[in-house]
Amino acid sequence: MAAKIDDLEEGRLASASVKWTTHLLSLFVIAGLTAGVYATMTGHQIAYGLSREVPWGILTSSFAFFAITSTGLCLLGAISHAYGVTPLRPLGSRAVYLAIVTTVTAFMLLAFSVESPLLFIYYNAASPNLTSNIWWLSTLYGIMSGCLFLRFAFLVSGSQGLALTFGIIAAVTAVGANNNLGGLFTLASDPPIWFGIQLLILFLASAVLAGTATVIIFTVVAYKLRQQEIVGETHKALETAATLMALMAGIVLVVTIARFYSIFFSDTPDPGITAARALINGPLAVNFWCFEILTGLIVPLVLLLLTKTKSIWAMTLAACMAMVGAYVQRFDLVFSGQIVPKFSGWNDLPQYLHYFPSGAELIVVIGAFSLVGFGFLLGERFVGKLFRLY
Amino acid sequence: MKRLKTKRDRRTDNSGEVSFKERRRFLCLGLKITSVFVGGSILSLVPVPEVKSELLGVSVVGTYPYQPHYAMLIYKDRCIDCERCIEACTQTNNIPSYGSRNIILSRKKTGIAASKMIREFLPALCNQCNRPPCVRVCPTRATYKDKKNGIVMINESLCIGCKACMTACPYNARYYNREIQAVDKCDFCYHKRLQNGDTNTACAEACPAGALFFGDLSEHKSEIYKLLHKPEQTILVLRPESGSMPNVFYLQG
Repeated sequence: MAAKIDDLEEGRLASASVKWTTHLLSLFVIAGLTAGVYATMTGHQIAYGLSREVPWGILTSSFAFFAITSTGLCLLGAISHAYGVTPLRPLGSRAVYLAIVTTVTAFMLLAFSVESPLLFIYYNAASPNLTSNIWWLSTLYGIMSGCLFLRFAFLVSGSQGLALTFGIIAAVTAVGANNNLGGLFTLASDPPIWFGIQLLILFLASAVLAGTATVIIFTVVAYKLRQQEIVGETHKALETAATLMALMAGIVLVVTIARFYSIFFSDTPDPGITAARALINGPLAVNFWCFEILTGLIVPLVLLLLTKTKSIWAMTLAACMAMVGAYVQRFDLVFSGQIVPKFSGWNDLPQYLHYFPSGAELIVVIGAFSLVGFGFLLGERFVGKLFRLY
Repeated sequence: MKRLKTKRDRRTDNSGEVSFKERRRFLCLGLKITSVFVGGSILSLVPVPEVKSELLGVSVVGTYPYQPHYAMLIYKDRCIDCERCIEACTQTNNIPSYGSRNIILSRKKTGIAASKMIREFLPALCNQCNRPPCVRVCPTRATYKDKKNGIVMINESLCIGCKACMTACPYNARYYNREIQAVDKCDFCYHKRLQNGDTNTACAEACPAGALFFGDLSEHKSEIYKLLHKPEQTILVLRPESGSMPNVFYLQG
């Protein structure tokens, strides 16, 4: 199945509309990069809406969103290729490619989330702290992205054996990286809302949920671009992915309930309960109930169950809603841990702190989403045929 | 708030004198935190033995992990919010206008006469925890606990500004200093004073009310050791539920 890179090009996607969309997205990416560089040069507390009390904002949550999604895509690619879940195979190559794109996006966001990104690269290698989850997650995501690049290169060159080997390594490191991303929150005793082992399960189930949702959305869009109908094995693959997505939505829902149950009915210290109340009936309640629970989990689950995961439009809609819910969930997770002042009750501090992303932050986030779209279109156009060679 | 007295407490009360041995025995009694909350959710009343156990960082009584083992005692009722401690810290450690290494918290509380509200002040700074969450989360070992004196320090050149330490700190004791491009925090004036031979921090020296008391707990004859180990002393620490084992203690009166 060896193929030259030139042979993989989808000529029909060189249409004017695709080209213009690609150019437009590239402009957004440039704007995002410019805003990020500006923030790095001027300082985050000037360019971003962050403060001493809320040092992590929408960039950190967006990083978590793309990193978790890349884990899910990487796992999806691995189980379809390496672990013999054959019905998913038609989606495997695209999942691997999208995992690379989302990992690159996550790294872009990570770079703009820290004040000195170049020092991060250097000291991550020169002065590692093995007890730090940030060190582990950045290192493991680095290894994962390297393995994914190699895997993709071997897929292009037709070396299936090597592609599988690197796929397995990437999947293992992806799980480790995802666990450390979860550990960044769950291992910290303060703030107490982040503490708890359920979050790790939530992160993993959420990763597969986001991965399946992403691959469904982009596969459907890819077929729309080619003006092809989804039939045969691809249709079956999407049905399998949708079933997996429904299962994960159910698991995430159960774990979310368990998480809040354990916060309210265990010995969680007061700041943890106050933070949880911010989500239940406080300033984050709309985010939590409308986006996280209803849009992100319940409606997609009902849609998928009612259509028995057969309908393409239903699964696409469910996937889009699940991704919206997942994005809001990452934001709520990051912000809810900082929303309660550490010296609550003193200095006339409000019960809940305020945070709203600055213009620079929003531009970087738009740039990040555009990078995924840009990468997707480039992939479909220049190596699009590979996604059918499974 | 009433604390139950042990038999040994009562015996020492009767004799009127407390020998060092008896004090030691008293300190070995009851190792559980009572965690009776007074003054809000961040301050908890902790009995002396627990304080000692927390100071050690391990359940071995009679030894201290650091030589010297720096700590600070704060008489919380003595603070008058004059902010001279903040001023002294700012001048000594070149703190920029947007940052601070120490703060004075304040709130209204009911006075002795229930109808009268009074202002309560609480100086707060880095607690130089024995189990510092900030050190564990730092990816580049930029923040570390000094193996000799136990002070939580920052190697500015290693800091990448990920701010994980700021989210992990239970005391909001850190801020990002744009001038040095690193997170900054209290180091008990180690770089500006202690390593040059001074024995006191700038804030403790500047306090006109004697609210801040700095010293070495590994030295049993030191004033801070004696103050902290008075058998009937009520010691408070900030946010004990975080399990960080602070080295800044609060005394009533």
